[in-house]
Amino acid sequence: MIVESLRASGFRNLSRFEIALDPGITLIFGKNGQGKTNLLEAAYASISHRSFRTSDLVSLINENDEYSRLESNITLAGGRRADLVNVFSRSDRDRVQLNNRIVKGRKEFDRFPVVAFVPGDVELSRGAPSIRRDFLDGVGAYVTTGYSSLIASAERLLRQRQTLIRSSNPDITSLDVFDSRYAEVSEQVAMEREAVVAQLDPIAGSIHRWLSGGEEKISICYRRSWEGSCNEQLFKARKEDIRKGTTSYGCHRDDLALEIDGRPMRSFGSQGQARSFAFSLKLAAANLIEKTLNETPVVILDDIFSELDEERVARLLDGLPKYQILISHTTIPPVGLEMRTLEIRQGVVRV
Amino acid sequence: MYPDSLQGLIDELARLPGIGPKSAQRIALSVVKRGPNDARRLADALVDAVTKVRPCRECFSLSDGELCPVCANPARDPAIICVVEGERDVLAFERAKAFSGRYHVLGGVINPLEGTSPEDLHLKELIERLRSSAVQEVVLATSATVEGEATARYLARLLEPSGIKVSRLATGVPAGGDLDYVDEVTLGMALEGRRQL
Repeated sequence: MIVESLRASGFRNLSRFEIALDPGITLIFGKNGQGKTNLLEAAYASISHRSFRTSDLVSLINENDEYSRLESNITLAGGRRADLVNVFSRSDRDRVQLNNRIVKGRKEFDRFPVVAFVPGDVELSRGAPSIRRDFLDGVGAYVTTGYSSLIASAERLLRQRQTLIRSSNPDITSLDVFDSRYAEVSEQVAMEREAVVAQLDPIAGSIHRWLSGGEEKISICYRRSWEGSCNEQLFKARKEDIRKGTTSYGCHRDDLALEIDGRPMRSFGSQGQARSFAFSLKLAAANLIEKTLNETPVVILDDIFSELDEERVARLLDGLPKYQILISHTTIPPVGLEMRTLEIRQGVVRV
Repeated sequence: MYPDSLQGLIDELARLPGIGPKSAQRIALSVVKRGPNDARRLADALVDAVTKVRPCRECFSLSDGELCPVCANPARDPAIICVVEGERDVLAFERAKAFSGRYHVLGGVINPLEGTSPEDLHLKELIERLRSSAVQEVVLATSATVEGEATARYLARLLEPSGIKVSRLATGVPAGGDLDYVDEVTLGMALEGRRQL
């Protein structure tokens, strides 16, 4: 898919703007603090009603405004057109319009894939397991039908179980029921996540081989928090769980193990390797989404040039698939590549 | 801005479910315009319903007397009981005219987050009913939510020792519906619950 044009008002520090975008690479440059990332965020939010920085969507609204409005005109695979309007409101309900009709829920957004790589993504290899689970779930939502509602049931069941074990005198049969339901749904979630990993692993491996010039080999593997039956393990841990007020087993405790050259990334990878590992994963996600949806995702690369060494960036931009790509940087970088440039100064976009 | 008496009516109406401040204003103004005769009829109907309606002694559905029309009807099959969350579910089944057995209204679902535990539901009464009459099948018709499903499982466990047949309402494709419009989760469940023709 291609975002042909983007209009925004009341978005963070950005002055109201309207820009046409290229189907290829667009570079957004400007000094620090001028609004480069905000512009990328506006593009991201206009096709996902989300942010890659925060879950608090009110913070997207300019502090002097009551609401923020993003409009984008999109061309999908096969030439179909879609017009999206996203309104983020301080006091009212947020609103999304697709082709002038109000849409509810997140489902429609699964048709407009977008993948962002931001400096914080280095945490994918070093941070908490929840960051890796969220990454997997983000990909799963695009490539597996019913994935989001499965995750929502798991979260709901976990919250019910947590409330139950923290109550003063938990009803044992209720606990049996919520445990077995949560275990059942956890097994389903693990299976779906394993299926996503099985597809992602070879793609990430070959992308990384290319990105590192054939020097490094990476692999990813899903690690369940339980062995055998989740329900049995939960049952065995119940006494301890009630004492601690936690749930020891289930899909909320699973992790994605990352390995580089056969060793765990967490303890052996350098900072630079952590960045390129994360980048390979994100690009693999874009690739898998494209294959599954038959729709090219929009790729957003925030501050990529300071994230990777020059050699990798050159190789990267040269060999990237034909996605629509938005990049931010402080200057126009010295890479001999065809790209459109947009300058941003004090929140004003200059074409 | 409105006279106190009218504002009082608006406030009372706005406390009802499904009525926002704007609807409350509209209803209140219309009631005032229609005059005292209509208002008295409405007031009588309100008081009449509130004082007369009570839970059925058997099934906890709504009733004007000791027994609800279903439980009082000898033609309804006492051997099969359909367990539902609320009174509205009984009305839904009755509209469908597809069920000839009797009901049991739980009065909610097990929901620890909202503090609803099994003791808050009419479970003991259900067990009592099963003990004292020749019930052969219990249909669990709680809704297909996380809590509805958990409540159904809970009941299934509770009823297991009794040896009574326990069944769960199927989830699937709506009648007269295009497969195209069915959401993928429901379609998956419909496929799982397919039967041989």
